[in-house]
Amino acid sequence: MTNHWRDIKNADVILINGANPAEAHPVGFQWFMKAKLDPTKGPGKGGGAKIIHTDPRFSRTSAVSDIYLRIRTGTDVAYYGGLMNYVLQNNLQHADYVTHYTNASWIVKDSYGFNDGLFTGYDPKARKYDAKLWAYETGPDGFAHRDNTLQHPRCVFALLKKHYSRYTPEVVQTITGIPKEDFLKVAQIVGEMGRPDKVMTIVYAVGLTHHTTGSQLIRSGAMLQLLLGNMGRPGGGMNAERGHANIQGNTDNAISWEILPGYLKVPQPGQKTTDDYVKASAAKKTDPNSWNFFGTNYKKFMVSLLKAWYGDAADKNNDFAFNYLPKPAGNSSWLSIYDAALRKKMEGLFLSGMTAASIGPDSNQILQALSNLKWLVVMDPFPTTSSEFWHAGPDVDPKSIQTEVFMLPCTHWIEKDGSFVNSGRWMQWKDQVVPPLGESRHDHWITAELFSRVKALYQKDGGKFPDPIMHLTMNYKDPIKPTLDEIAREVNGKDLTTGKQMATFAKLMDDGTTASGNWIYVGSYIEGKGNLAKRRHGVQDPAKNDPTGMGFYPNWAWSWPLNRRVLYNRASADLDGNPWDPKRPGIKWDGAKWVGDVPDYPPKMSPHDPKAWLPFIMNGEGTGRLFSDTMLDGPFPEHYEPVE
Amino acid sequence: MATVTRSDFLRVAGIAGAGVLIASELGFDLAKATEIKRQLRIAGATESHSVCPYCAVGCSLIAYTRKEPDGSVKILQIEGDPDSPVNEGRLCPKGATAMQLADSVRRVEAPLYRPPGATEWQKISWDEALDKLAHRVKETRDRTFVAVDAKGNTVNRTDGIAFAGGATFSNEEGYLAAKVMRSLGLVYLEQQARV
Repeated sequence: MTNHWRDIKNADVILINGANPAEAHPVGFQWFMKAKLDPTKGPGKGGGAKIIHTDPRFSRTSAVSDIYLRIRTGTDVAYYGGLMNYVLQNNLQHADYVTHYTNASWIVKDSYGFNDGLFTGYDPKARKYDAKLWAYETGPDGFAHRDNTLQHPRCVFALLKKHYSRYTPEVVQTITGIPKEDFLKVAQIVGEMGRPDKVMTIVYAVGLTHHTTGSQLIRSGAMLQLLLGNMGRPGGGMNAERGHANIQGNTDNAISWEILPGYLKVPQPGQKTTDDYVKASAAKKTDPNSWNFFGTNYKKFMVSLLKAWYGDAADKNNDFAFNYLPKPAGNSSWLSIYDAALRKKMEGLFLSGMTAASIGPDSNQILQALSNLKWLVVMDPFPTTSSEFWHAGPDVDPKSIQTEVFMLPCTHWIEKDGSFVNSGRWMQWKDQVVPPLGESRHDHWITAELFSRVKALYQKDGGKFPDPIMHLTMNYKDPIKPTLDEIAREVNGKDLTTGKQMATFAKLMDDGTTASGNWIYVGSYIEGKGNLAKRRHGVQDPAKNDPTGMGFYPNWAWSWPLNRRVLYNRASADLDGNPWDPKRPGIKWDGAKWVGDVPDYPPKMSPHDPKAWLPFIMNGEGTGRLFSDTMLDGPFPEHYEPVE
Repeated sequence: MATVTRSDFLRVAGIAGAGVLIASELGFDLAKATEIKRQLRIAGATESHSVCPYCAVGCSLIAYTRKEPDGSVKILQIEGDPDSPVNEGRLCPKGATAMQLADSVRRVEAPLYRPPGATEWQKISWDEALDKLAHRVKETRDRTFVAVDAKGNTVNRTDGIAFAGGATFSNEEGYLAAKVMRSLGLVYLEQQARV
């Protein structure tokens, strides 16, 4: 979520697609109902926020919605695209926001085009686009040409308007199955949310993410929010409702094939040095006033990660042990694991707190894949469909299954401490309440002891490239029984010259003098104040603990990054630094500094400084992207029938 | 606020709420009795803080435990934490029964091992299980390790092992797993976010 659960109470309109929060997140849903029952919220003169639920299935969420639209599965690009078209045709966009806070004024090269359902640059043989054809038109300084009047025929705004002019209410009806009249009723409400004193949130869940076209489905919603000026604002944003207790935290910490902790890209074959890696991975600045904070500091974050992992073995002489990091041959995502097993290329599999056999599109195939493994480790408090697959599956003959299976019983959530990060990015620490049951062990103790035993084998017998194993830091009091507190300190990171915990990622260095296991968590465990995820100053005293009254509760737990509660919040204030809606401030320039939420901006940078950074400090443009050449399947989301 | 404890507050709220019920036909104050019963349940208990293990709303929990004469720790009650800005003490039916996960009798309590082709689980010690497993990891790693790919790029990866981690891991367990597995050369690293 760009925002957080409690923040949904600040919305005038709540647009829900592909989610059923009333049933799946019932306690989070109280904040939707608070908005609905709050007479100061809502379109027009208020009377309560409007909930609009667009889903193939009529659920309990639909039952309490103001409007329910039945949409044909997987057609949300057409729906959001139709809404964008309605906004643009009726000139309802938040004009100042679009001009100054999005890339609407960036001019695109004339090699961009869209014909017959395809963007230019398509190679039918490779079935890939050459995204270079969609680049911005740049000057010799590398900066994009802009036209702030938005009149240039090749500025993003003009291209956007043209692209979505095809998504008329009639076309929306044909593709989505939503009757034109119903769609227009919603479009009218949504269109009003382009007013600076109104704000809408978009909420979605696996109904969007689980499509093969998911990235573009979500992107089209985010673009609608940019057009309406709702990104970065309390009561606004794009809010993914995540499923499990710590799915957000484990994505941040990168148990995902394509990323390293803190959303650093996984290095690719051919990248020989950290410089090669950064060049291929980091965004480039396309406007002189773009800070491009992530791109500019990419190397610092990567080197600090390598220092956290490989300690003294990572130094300038070996390019901080960049070659220790494995480089995948290609897509190594979930299905490819089982595909490799079916082709007998996969020998061993760890399933730790998840089962393979009962998720995914084809359980029989997964069971066959598990049968092909040499060994399978299930680390779980309970027997699972995977731990028992060799005798409890349908029509299985255990004698014919040659997989060696280890069932290692783990402790569960209340038998250990540690933090869970909720969907709204709030990192909340929990206590160990009871001791482990029977012989069950903590997952991290199993991981650590197994590692120590593998390392001992390499020490004794040697083997393939033992370096990363030999040099992996396990600087814990007991390396086979690390405490989660010690790991939390390492994730935050420290200054290696002083030994002190870091307070901000702005101080991370690329010369090996800082270490941080995950740059977006710097500030969570700091010198003198300890673990901020343990903070508990909540609604027992709202006057003291929620000083802005916006529900940020800055001293309850900790929120990444830097305890910021609403991402991109510079965009919640106008060019002079005043909130677009004074009743719902995110941050505000008080003449000397930004006040309110933790600013997503230099805390003392005046909006009147001619060199003031553009509002979206993390990307190359410095503005929200209505057009992007970073998407593999097109710079604008286009409706294609998903295979599902 | 500093002088009013949470349980004081609940007690007062309970009594105030009972006003309408004082003339109960049962002849006694039902709300008061319920509150006394609740207090008996957690009397002398230790209060700890937790977070709901189920969905990503992240409702705060308070867990009450008591040390038994035999030294074991018993969970008496798990309830929503009224101080939390996320849930303000509320829990959904699933979260409200988190105790059933905490003291479930369906747990596996000791390591189990199933050799190739066997029809039954065998009991195995942690020492033996981890020893065997460490050998398997090393054998597979050495057998499937790719130092340099066909194009001559240094890739240093282990193609024959995959790790799928749980979204029920705490942040810190997840971080350690990613750190260790990447350093063993794994590139197949996935979790519930994908599925």
